[in-house]
Amino acid sequence: MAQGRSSGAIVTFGVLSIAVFAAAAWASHKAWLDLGDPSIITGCVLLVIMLSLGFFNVRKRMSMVPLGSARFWLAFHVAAGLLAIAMFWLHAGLVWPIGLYERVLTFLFYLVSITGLLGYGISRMLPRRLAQTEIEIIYERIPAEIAEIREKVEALVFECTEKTGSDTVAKHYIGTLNWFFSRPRFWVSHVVGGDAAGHWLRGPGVAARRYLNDPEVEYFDQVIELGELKCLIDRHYACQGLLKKWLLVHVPLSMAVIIMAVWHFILVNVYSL
Amino acid sequence: MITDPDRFRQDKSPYERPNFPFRCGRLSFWGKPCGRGPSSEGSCGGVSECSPYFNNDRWECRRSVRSGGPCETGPLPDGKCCNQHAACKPIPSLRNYRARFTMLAAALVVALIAAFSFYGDDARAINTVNPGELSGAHSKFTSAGGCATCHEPHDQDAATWLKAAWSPGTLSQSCESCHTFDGAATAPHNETFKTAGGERQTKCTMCHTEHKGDNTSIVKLADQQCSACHEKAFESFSNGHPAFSDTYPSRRRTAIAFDHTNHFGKHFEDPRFVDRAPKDRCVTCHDAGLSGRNVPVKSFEQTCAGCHEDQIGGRELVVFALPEFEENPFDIAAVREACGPSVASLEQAGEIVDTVQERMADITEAAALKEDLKKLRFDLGMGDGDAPESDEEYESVSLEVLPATAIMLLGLEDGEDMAEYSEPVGELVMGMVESGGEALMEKVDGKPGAATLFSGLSSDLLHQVGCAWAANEEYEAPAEAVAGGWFADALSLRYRPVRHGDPVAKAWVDLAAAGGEGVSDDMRDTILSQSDGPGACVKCHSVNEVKDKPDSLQIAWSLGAVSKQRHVRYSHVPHLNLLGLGQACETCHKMDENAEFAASFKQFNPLEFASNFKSIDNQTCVGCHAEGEVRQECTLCHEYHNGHGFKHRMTEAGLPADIPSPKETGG
Repeated sequence: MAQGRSSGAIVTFGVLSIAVFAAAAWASHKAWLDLGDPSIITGCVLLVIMLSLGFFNVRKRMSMVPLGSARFWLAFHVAAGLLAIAMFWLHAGLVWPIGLYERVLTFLFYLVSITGLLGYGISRMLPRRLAQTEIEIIYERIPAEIAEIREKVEALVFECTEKTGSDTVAKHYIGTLNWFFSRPRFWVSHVVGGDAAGHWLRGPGVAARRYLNDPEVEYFDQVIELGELKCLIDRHYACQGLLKKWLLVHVPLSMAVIIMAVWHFILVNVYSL
Repeated sequence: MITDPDRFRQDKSPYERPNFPFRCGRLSFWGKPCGRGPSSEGSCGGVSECSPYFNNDRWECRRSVRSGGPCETGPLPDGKCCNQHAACKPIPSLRNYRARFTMLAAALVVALIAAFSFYGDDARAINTVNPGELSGAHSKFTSAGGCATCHEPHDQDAATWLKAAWSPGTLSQSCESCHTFDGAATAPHNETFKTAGGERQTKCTMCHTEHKGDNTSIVKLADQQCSACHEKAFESFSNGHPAFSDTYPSRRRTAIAFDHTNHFGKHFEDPRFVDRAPKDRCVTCHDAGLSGRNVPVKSFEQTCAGCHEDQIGGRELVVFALPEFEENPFDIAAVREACGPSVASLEQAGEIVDTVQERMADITEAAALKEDLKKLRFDLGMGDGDAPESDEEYESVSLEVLPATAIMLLGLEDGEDMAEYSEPVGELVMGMVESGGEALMEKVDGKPGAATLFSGLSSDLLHQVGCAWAANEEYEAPAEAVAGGWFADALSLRYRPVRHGDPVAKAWVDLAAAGGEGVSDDMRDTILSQSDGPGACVKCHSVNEVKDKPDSLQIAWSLGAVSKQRHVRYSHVPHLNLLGLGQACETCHKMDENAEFAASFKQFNPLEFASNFKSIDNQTCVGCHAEGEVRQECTLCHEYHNGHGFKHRMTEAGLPADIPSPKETGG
């Protein structure tokens, strides 16, 4: 239901964006025909769009103020972001401008746009993949969960050694499994949707199983079961981390672009208009 | 743990605050975090496991359930938790990092903008103000003044600079500091139109954009934009362009009355002249190498001289002639003093000497002898006082009348009243005797071409002529004048053109054509007469009326027709390159054998013209300039500006260092 409302909001804002773009393009073309400066119209519209896009981050900090739902704002941000890219090309008239300052501005704008598109792409893709893990975990608690799993595994290994009198499992843990349980592993594989962690666990991870007696196997299977749980948590860590960390690039770049755009606006008014 | 379905219970789960700026440092090493996380300012808050509570004179252990509940040993007597452990170093949360990066990015951008805002001032300086390289020409001429050459606020103080953001721009005015036009710079086409769009004010930046690179055109004008003012819109030149006028391109009469039809159809076919006929048709006389909007005609020597050169030299102009007098208007004593004995008086003196010798035999004729001696002394220029009285009746050596040019020079109403002209003529001739050319120059002072009218006239010649005339004698030239230039015959002063384009002859023709004070119709008819005198010039050079000067005429000396189509441009070069020379010209220029070409030169209105050639219509051009073929945009043939030029100071500033400026050379 929420997914449907989100798509509906995006479609609505998408249509509005197209309408705004068409209106701006028509007005700028009319200004051009009338020997006016079409870039004034497109530039002002673009600046307003940029500032409204930047307001998305401000809105997150003002969650106590009823400014509409996050879904509404995300849909607006996505549609307005795409509109900004189109408006930028309409404004500049070129994919790559002439002046050094404008080139830096354009480069940063493209970076913001690309990171934004990638961010939106992963925010659509990764949550679905995480839902398939059938577990839910808060990102900030993942280190604690991993520590707790590691404690539990180590407790099982101790118990196994004490109860069975064999240190095979303990040696395997120290030699192989400890690397896996010490921290999240196979980040890239989890991000791209691979199963390198599972393969590792089913390969080197269980390699010692054939050398264990029945009581040891019982403990060992519990350890592997916890390992499989950690695989899922690692996936959450990788994907949720990416969902958060791409903003470390997108938001600062956005701020840089907005400041540069405002300076560009001032310069144009002082020197050209 | 995550496998615990009840893991979020308040006594099992810490309350996560991801919006806090710091998180537990142990987590960063993937260890078990302490139950009490870092403080908001980033210090470790988890050095003790409990928060002891002083209750009824005892410290109680207050450890959370998820940490195992109150410990057995409890707090120390001084109220500290007994389970103390080393503090860790909290690390910033992701949100904190994001805020830091954002502030850093903002600060970096602001710093870079501030650092490079006004760093360097030329067109290629690395600064945030520079939106790109200027075009080659502008970058050169603005290198000295920098940005402020065009952008007035650039060198102003900060307040004025910022205020400029809300003030109307002055870029167009800056353009006018170097560029000039034949009209207001901000008027459409630099003209004053009476149509609806004519009152519109334009700006240079409407069509010109700068800072697009060294080799980029700064003109940006599309066909559709012409319709911003031109209400009659059409799709393209080949589709809907208004038809050319019936007289295009020969709306105005040519400077030279060269009848192409007559020459090609009659004279060049004549067996007597057929060997002189142009072999290469048009380009024999028209210099294709210098072609531009027009293909200029080669010089007279290269073209017409082959047949018409002899018709130039024989055209003499009688500038002055000694008229008939009833009485001698000259002061003979003054003439004798200035001229000395003339040839005739010397001959007369010889006769007197003979008579004196005869009379010496009879001394009784002393009185007569005394008179003879007095006359002899006078004739030899030795006498003083008045001339001896003569019993002979004065008989003017000349029976001529004053020519029209002389009437103009003397400022007379007509040259027939002997009483009126005797004194001024006498003064003029005496002036010639005493000061040579100055006497004549004074007469034309202030008239057009005054400096040229008597150019090359020898004062010595004038002196000799004046002496002869003042002595009531005909001037006898030492030799017959065969070459061109100034010469005198018995009773007249004449000029014979040296060659085609003779400046003196042109000056007299110009003076007669211009009219004005002293120039009578008779003088104009005499000088501009095609049958006699220098008026032969106007046999070929057209005579045009002058705007706002109804009595004035102007000779079209220069070959090129003056086009008034200021907003139309055309170049023959690409067309000749494509079509080739020779008869290819006739692809567009087709002769009109029925045109009354010669008749249109018999009047003075240059706009009443029947060209030798048929008018060119749109379809001639559309043959190539059409959709999908050769270019056909408006600006290909239409020039926006009216008389675009540059101010001298700009051209001077633009000279390379090794070339002296016009001021330095006195130019």
